[in-house]
Amino acid sequence: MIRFIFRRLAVMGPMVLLVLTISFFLVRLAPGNPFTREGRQLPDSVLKNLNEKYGLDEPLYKQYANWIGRVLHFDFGPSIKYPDRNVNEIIGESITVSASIGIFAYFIALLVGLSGGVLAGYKKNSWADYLSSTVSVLGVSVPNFILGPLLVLVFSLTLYWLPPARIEWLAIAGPIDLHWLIVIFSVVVIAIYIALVYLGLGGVLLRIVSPLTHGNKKISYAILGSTGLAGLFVIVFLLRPYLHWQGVSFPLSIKIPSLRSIILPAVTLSAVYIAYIMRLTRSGMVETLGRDYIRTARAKGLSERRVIFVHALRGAVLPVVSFTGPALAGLIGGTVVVEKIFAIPGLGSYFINAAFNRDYFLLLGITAFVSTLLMLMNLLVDITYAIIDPRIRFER
Amino acid sequence: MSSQVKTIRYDNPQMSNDTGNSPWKNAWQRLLKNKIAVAGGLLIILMIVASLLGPVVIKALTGYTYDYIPSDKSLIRAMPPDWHHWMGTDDLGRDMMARVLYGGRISLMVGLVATLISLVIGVTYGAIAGYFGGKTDNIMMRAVDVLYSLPYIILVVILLALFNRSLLLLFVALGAISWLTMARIVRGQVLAIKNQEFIEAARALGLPSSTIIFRHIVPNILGPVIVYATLTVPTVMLEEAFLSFLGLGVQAPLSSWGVLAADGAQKMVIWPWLLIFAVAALSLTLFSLNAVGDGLRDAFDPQNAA
Repeated sequence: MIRFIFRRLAVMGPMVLLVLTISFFLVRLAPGNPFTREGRQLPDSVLKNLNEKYGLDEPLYKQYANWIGRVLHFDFGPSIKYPDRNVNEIIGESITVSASIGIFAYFIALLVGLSGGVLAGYKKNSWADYLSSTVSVLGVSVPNFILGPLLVLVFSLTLYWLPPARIEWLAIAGPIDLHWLIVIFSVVVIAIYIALVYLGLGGVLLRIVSPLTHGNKKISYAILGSTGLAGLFVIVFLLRPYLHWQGVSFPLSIKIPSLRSIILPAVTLSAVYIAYIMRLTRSGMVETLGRDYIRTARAKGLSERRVIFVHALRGAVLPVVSFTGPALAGLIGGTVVVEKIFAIPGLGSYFINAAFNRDYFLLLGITAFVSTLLMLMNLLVDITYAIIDPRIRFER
Repeated sequence: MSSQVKTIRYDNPQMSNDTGNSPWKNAWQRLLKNKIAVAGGLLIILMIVASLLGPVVIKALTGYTYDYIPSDKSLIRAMPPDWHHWMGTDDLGRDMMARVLYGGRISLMVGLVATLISLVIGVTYGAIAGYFGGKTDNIMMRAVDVLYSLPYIILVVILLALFNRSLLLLFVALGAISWLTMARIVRGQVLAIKNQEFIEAARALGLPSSTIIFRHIVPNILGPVIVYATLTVPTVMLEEAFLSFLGLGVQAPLSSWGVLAADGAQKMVIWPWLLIFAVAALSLTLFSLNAVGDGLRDAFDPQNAA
């Protein structure tokens, strides 16, 4: 298991570099520049000064080296379109909205998709099954930029229940420095670590610790937990001076959007995932319910609820877990659309505006940030998958 | 259970209800029993015929084309559907029916061409990797794994936003996204059949590898390939719509269902007919393609034989 994680981590580094390289050259080799727009021709001397200011006059390989060097220090550089803020600040500001909509959407999709799929698979060929298959085909046939305006038409312009666009902020705090980000990150990692210990990774670790504790599981877990904590604090303190070294910070504003104002965007975003998850769960459910071990479980006299939710669901949920990777990638594309429909100043709308304005550093910064995040999430998904299904680990 | 049923059928000729036992024929018969898939198939044929002939017929009868703006100033406004314009006109006075049907041409073409690109690359790549196996397979499939985890949407948006947009670039970008899964599916299928006797016989005859792959292997794995290709078309069309919505797809005055739907979505409160017909066409086509794809998958699935 540990070897599996390390092998995946080792692949991730070069891949991130590959994405950074591809996107850098794609952006820089494109015709045009951020300063001359249609109908506005700058004098040559001004253009020269601007290029000099942003380092765009240097040879391309040098620009590439500079940029990569800065990105490795979490410094994404200035924004050309928004001169009063740098890219780090823009990302820090906009990520919270996008993330809250994305997470909310995926949560809705899991809830509706899983329950609908389980019901449809359990009562095959009933009205619930037909309803769920209609919903899942509709979900992939109606584009989300249609669904969004339709929902607005019904729920905001006719029923006046929800706001049609824009975000209402509940609280704006910050900007928070990167140190807090690291603290938050550490808490998440600790949670994952503890979950891993309890779920399966513990098997290996427990065996290492158990001679010390004479097989007492509680003490073993306590030792493992505290070593994990200690290790994380060491990492945090090792990282601190490194991040402070160039005075770079990642100011993360905690802007909390109100639930009311993100319901419509999240529902719009979740439709496609509801469709996919429902379909995957249904077919997984139908397949597992036909297996022998389900018959055994029933023969043992287990309650029907236990058979479905403990025995069958565990097998049926595997394809859903492996769908999470592609779903995350799609969520990013979907966020761009949803943010455009609902006029939300999130990461997606900054990304698409930066692409149109040729705001090189902002575009590249968001690309680098999102790609790295995406690959990290994919790694987490793969690890989860390997824990649920041990066969994956021993492949190759 | 199902395996028992199958054995009985193969052992007892009386039990099998059809005359020909070719798997293609069986699949076809199973497909015909699936009413939704048949309806979807008919609808797709109707859509293709309408978008190919429609603009020609409308032009011949009325003179309207997708970019015809009337010279009479009073006609340059959005009008609801009437006897002249069955789907109304848009705010430039252009006939919506001509635009929707012409948009269908482009949308269907984008879907088909991009799928074809993904089909050619994916099948060739997957078949070569699967057939040669060993180190070749390992390197080729590892490359696919790497490409698989790149954030494609981001790169496509960058590509289309920064370079001169053209239909060709759109085809290439969309085709390049979708060949990876195809390559994986094909490789798996090739691995499953490459050690069968008829391949060995072909090799014993001294046929070159290219002939073995394209004449003997590829025709035998067409089933899953067709199923996946059918499901790729709606995905690509949806991607095109998504890119058009962001202003990155087909450029004005050309139209596609994606462009029309995106445009109509902004004006749906005042001029709903701009949205309704384009969305109906797009969604019905996507729905039909998905239904046919699902139907084909069920039809080719040997577990459904019983």
